[in-house]
Amino acid sequence: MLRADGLTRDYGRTRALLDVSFHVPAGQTVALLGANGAGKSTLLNILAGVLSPTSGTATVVGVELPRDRRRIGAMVGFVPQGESLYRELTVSENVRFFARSHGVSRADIGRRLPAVLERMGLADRGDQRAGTLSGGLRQRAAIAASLLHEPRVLLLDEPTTGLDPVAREKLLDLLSDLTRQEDTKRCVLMCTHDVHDAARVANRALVLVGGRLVHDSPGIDEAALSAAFRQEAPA
Amino acid sequence: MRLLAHVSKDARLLVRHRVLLAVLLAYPLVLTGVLAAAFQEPPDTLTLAVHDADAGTLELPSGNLTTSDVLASASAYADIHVYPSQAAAIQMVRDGQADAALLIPRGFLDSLTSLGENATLRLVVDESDAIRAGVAAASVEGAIEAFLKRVIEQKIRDVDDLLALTRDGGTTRIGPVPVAVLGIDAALERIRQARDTFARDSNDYERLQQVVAFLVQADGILADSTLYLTTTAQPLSIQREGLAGADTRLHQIVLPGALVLGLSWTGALAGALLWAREHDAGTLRRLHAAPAAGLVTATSKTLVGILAGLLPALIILALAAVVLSITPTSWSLTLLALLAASAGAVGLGQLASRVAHETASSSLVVVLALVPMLMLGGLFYPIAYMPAAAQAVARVLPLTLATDALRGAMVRGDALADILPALAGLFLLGALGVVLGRPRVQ
Repeated sequence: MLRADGLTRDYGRTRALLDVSFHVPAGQTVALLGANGAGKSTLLNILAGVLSPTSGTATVVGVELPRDRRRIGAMVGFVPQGESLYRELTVSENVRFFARSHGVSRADIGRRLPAVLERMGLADRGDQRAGTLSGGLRQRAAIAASLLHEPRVLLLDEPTTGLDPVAREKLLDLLSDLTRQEDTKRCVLMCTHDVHDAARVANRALVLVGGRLVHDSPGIDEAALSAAFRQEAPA
Repeated sequence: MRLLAHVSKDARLLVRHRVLLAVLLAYPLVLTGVLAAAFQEPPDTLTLAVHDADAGTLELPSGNLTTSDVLASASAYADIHVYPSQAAAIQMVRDGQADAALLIPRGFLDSLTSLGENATLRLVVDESDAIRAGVAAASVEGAIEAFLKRVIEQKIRDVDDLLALTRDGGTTRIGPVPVAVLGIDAALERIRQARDTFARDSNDYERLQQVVAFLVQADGILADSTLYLTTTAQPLSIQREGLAGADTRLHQIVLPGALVLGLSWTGALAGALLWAREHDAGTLRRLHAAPAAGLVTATSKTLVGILAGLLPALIILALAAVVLSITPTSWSLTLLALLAASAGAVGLGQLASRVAHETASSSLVVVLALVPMLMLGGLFYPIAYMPAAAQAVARVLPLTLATDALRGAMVRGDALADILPALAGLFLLGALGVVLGRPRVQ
């Protein structure tokens, strides 16, 4: 479903990602752990087709990156870090727009929208402007906006960052439900620097340190992850 | 269909953001309102401070002229205020209470009658206020021209009278003494009668015949001189008119500039801010992740930006037509020029958004780009008066192209072919904005 082969990315003289390789089969929810600057967002942006790797390739649902980068959008749901909604548009308008920009027909949007809003706990917020929502609701709306085109791969970049504890737990509940409810056709890759979040949602963990993949384990062993997390960046 | 979704979203973002709406749409309208209120046709009468040091009289056979006649010529369109000294008259100009000071020197009228001597008037204007100075100087020079025309006409009339007296005879005065003048025609007749008393083959007949021939020739020369004086030697007059043929009003001249100001402001900022808002909202990465979104997104922003630029311009144009009765020489070319100007401005803004991604920095880049263009774009200072290097730069600036196209369509009565290069340049800039203006994800 999702494969990375020797992905390396440089920003000028700064190396953000170095020779990262892994494979995620369908049905798996993977937590991508790492400290700030570890390369998590860079990796997600490459897998979403937003950034090109300096070297290496990735294959997402059979589409090779960066070669066929323009074809990847229909298969990937990408929720970037931070706000990624138009504050002046309502929740429904945001979700509709991103669905349309992914090529979903009006009829399909009309059919899928209520279910997606319901699933993300936003059924009664559809007509509310995104700018007036709380941080937690806004993050849920951002995730909803990446679901309507029914992506095979869902990429979430630190979805719980900046949320208060209550909103954070609610969002993790929803994500947990979302990944459990999904059939085995979809895989989810979620960036976080919180082991607790990873344990709540994921069934596999990858740890990046200094741009290198230093840990890849099935299941979530919080102690092992914390130890891997605290590693010094390899020279 | 995706483009429609993008256009709908971009338009809603713009309309629902009150500050953006005010900055993009209301500001050009307010600015144009202020300009319209501030600019009006120059006053019909100027204020002229005069110091007259010449007490002389220009004596002509047909009547005397004094410096009062000079002032009478100017009084048709100036309020004349006479001051006892040059310094007092000049001070009125310095204080801004007079448009110009007219200083008539001692011996001015005498120099008018002296061959080879130039009669000189001094005209003092406030050169720091160039437009007011120019209008005042042109008006006073017009008045002086009218006075000189009167002097020349009077001199021609006097010479014509003398020529008539020489040919036809009559009475004139030399000082207080009336003198009878025989005239060439009467003298010719008498000499012919005397000549005919002699035999045709005599020496006396031949001598008088030579005198007759000379007088006939002199009479012809005098007739030619009269004709020359009354026709060819009349002073010239200039009838001024614009390229469009009509007498163009100041508001019509200013309107293209006001439209360019509004269009450039709104179009360039819309072009930059529609991208910057994506960056600030964090949606840029989402858009980049969408399939084939790049060109669609850029085209949408260009279309919405062009519409945003056109909206205040069309309102201004409609208000000018309704309130000030100003209509362009060609409506269709004006609308085409507005479209091109808006496209160029949006392209400029989109290119700015490539340089600076956030709302604050991209707005700053747009302002930094627009200000020198306003200075060099021919709105305030003629490009033809600039140094060659500055002209080369100024002539390809988007604001220059927009100003030229709109002036051509609205004032000069240009044909499409005349403004086509400017239109092409503006549309090309709009296309460059679509292709190159998309911010890259860092």
